[in-house]
Amino acid sequence: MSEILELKNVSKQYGETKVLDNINFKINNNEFFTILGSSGSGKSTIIRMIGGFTKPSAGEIIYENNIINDEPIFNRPFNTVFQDYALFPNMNVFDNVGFGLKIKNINKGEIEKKVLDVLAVVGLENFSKRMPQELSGGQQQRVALARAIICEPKIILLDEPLGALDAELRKQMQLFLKEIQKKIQITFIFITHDQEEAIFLSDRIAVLNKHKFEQIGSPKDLYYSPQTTYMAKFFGECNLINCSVINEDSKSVKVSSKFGNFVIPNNATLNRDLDFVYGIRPEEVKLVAKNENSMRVKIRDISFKGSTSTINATNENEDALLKIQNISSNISQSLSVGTYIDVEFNTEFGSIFTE
Amino acid sequence: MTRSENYTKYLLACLTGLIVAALYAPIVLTIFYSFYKSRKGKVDWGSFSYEPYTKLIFERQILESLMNSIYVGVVTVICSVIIGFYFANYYHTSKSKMKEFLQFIIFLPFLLPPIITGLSLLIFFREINLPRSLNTVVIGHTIFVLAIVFKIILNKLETLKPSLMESAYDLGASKWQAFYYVLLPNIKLSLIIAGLLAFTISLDETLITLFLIGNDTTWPIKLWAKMRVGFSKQVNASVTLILILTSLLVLLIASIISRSERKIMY
Amino acid sequence: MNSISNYFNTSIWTIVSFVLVIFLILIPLASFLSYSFFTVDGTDIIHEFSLFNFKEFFVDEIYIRTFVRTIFLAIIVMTCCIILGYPVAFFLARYAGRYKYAILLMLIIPLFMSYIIKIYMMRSILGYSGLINKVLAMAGLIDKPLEFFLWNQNSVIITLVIILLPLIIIPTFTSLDKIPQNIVEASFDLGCKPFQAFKYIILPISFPGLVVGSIFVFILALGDFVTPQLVGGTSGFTYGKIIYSNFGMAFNWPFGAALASVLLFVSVIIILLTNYLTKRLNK
Repeated sequence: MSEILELKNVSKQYGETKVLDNINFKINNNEFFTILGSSGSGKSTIIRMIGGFTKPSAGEIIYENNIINDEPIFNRPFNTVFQDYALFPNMNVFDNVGFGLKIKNINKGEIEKKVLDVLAVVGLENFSKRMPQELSGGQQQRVALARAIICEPKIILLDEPLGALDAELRKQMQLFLKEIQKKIQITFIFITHDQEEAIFLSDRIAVLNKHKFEQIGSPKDLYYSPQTTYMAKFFGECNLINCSVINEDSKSVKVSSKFGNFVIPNNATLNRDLDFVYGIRPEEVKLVAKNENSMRVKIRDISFKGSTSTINATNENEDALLKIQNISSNISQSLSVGTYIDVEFNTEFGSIFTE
Repeated sequence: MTRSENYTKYLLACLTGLIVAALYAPIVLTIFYSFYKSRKGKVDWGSFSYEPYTKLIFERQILESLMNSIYVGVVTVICSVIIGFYFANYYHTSKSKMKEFLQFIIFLPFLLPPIITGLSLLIFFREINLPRSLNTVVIGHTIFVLAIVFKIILNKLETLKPSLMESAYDLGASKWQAFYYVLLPNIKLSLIIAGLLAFTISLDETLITLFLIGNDTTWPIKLWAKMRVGFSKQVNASVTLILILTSLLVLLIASIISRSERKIMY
Repeated sequence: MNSISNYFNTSIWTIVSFVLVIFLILIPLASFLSYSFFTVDGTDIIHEFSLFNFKEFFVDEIYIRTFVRTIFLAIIVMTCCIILGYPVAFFLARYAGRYKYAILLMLIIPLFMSYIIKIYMMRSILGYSGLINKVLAMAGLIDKPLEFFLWNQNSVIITLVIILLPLIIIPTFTSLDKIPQNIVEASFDLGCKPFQAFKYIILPISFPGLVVGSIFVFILALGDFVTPQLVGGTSGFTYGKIIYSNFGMAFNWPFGAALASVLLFVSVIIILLTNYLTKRLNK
């Protein structure tokens, strides 16, 4: 896969306020790339810089080996789908969609043909004479997308395009976006604060936290191999347990924690002299019969969730909490609060954080 | 911002500055000539004095016309706000199709050239044998400012939720209690803005007044009459004082509007 | 019992409002229109239907000529106001940042300041020994004062522009100020250069506001009679001044009413026409 866009050491600040701090990433051709972050994390600023609406304070934006920091907006081969669509209120759907071509002085016949094609792609072929104000949110969204697609940009920038839609419509539009991106083969850079949306849509996700990237990777990478404790807790839940090494052999390391000792596979990156944090997802904690590797915990509460249940348990001193998920309700029924159970970790799915 | 956009910006800023200067030039000159004398277009720089302002109290005619203007303004405010509220309330609550027609009629005196409003009232008053006086001027001013007053109050009424009055009735308020304790406090600001604006417009209304005025004169009409003999410095002084009053009124309106908008935002 | 109208008995209420409107606005308009069909004999007005006034209007070509000239004058005033006012409104809405409302207020205040005084003072600005001539002489651009500025059409136009300019700036600014920044950004994003963004997006969206302001300026310039009286001299008289003189010294109210009804007719047509056009543009 070839690389189309790169941001190199990009920072942005307004006066004293730092919005983005040393951002680096590369985007591949035809990729669905998502920047995920909470509001105020600076995610919109990233695509506003790529689109050319604002300039980075430092660093370079590189498109096909050229630095484009100073390229004016109208020369960049990118198009944006704005958060609140930004459809032109003085034009109907047809003119909105055809606008980019009209500016390029393409002849009328060709514009008409292309607009009708693109409207068919987004399923709005019967709406071409409507004004934007007469459309629903989802339809306006499609017009905004059609308006960007028709210019055949190298990259489409989508700034929280689904933010204003209700849950049901949002689901539909996610499916629609994913299908259309496959169909038209254009790189999408997508911005959202919704984790599920990001996981569902993206080839790769960059998670933005406190003006920096925490981690960039495929949804599976981020879920199964989080690199920081922030990431471990970002998607779903994760038990974070403070541990220190007791002893090791070639295959495994024995560690101690507040819940007792347990064994994890040997890991070259682990510094034996320092304490570390061990992350294990609640569904990777199993109930077992007592054995030499199991740990004994006390049930604090059980919440019934249908076929499965979740258990919150504490250690003997009741100063550390362990969450256990996906316990068959058949089993949890026989347990009661205040009693003890024995657990083991699926250690091949655990993560080690040494920060 | 590109460089050409920067040039455009500075060019437009210069134009705006020039326009502001041009709009204020006549006003600044008036204030200037209330302090300095000029002879044949030459300014006598040594002639500075604020005497015209103190002498103003001896100018019976000017003071009388000022009092007349204030009388007309105040009565116009009272009439136009009451009638304007009536109409706005009717328009807001009625489902009748006639209300659009009513609105159109109210806007007519505001949209048509003032000369039309002036002379049609003049002819009407003659036909019903109503002698011209300050009160006929009040009628003229009232129907002229009615459209603005109506629109300001209507805009406010339309922002109120229907549940506001319903909950007042639900809590046992009588019609007048609901009006006095619930509706009035909520539209109070719009009534004040409308009233101040009506007063400011009435104070300076000339074109309609010229048709409707009797033997008494309002201040703009006094100026119109004095113009033939040329302005004394006392006239310039009175103009300066009125200019200050008008600017204060407009600033007051603006500050009430901006404060009430801020209240809506938070 | 859930609407505000319940303070007042609804039927009385409706009657009162309609009576007010009819007596204060409609009947005066009707009596003025009917006057245009009356004639005058000395100081008596003869209440009999006659088309004499309108015949007079069409026969003596000075009235039609003055009317057409006044329409042209109003068009020139309107055009000047558009040319000067639109850029100012544009500057305020797009570049003036947090000062925009303060500057707008500065532009509005003169609108409420003494109409008569502004016109009167334009004399000492435009006159033979006025401010403009003095500045031009000091700059060495002219040897002797120009008579171009006072006691003619030019002075009427300049004065009306100065008086009416805020009326075009306010609605134009309001419609420009409502254009969201991201719509302009979207046009750049789709390949517009700044001028194209102005031509295809900003101008069409702000057009209705500009039209409203222009109509106000046009109608007020068309009907004004004080300005030509004070700065127009002999060559600068307008249709409004002729109407007014029929109610003053000439004392021919029916003929004045007939002249005014022509003005009313044209004004109403223009209001309805622009109303129709802007509605069609918005569709």
